[in-house]
Amino acid sequence: MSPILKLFAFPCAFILVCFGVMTILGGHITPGGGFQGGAMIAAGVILCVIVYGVEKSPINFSHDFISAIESIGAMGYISLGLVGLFTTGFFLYNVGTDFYNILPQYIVNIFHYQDPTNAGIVPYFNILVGFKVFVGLSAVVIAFSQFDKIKEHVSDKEDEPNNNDSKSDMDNKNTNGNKDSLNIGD
Amino acid sequence: MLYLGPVIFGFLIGFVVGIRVRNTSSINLTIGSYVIIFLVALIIAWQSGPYPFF
Repeated sequence: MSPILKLFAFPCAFILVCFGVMTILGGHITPGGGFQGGAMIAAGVILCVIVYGVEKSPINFSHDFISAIESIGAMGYISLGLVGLFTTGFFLYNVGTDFYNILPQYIVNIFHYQDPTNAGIVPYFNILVGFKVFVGLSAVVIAFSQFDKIKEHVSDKEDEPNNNDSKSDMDNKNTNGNKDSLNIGD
Repeated sequence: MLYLGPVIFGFLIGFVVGIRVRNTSSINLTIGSYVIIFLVALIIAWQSGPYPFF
């Protein structure tokens, strides 16, 4: 990539990430939400991966990081839904707002998001979906960008004649052995 | 008035993404660059006003 792109991409990714965080946090009152904000953060990461390459990218997501954040997003969403199910009988009930007045006040206080809009647990859902989406979309592009490596790895393995021959010999021996054993068994 | 929700969770999401940022040889960010980024972010936040109502 050209030096101009390399100079420009990281600050631009910084701004994209900040804008994505803002979109996630305003998801319950402004256009956008968890998915859109997560896609914006992923756009910043993808920009860095395309311009600098996976190995030299300044925003680098490891496999463990991706799996951890993806799991936190999914499990947090389900857990918040289960809170409503166990306390009121309705899955994904908004326990932070309690529109039907069926919850004790202390549970509402625990799950109420500190915001003037009385949104309850909706911002939490946006945040968890945002986590899941930004690592998910980034993982897709990181996987695509590493296909060449996998191809090289596979072709290197195919080019090793000795290993293949020995493997085929071993297979033949095994099949012969199986035939022998079948003969004995018969 | 300062509302805690966006402050806490904004920091949390920024932290989760920010811990994966590393200073590679292709970008070479100095301490001065980080100071400028922080100052610009502070000015933009100040000019934007309270979070949900800007």
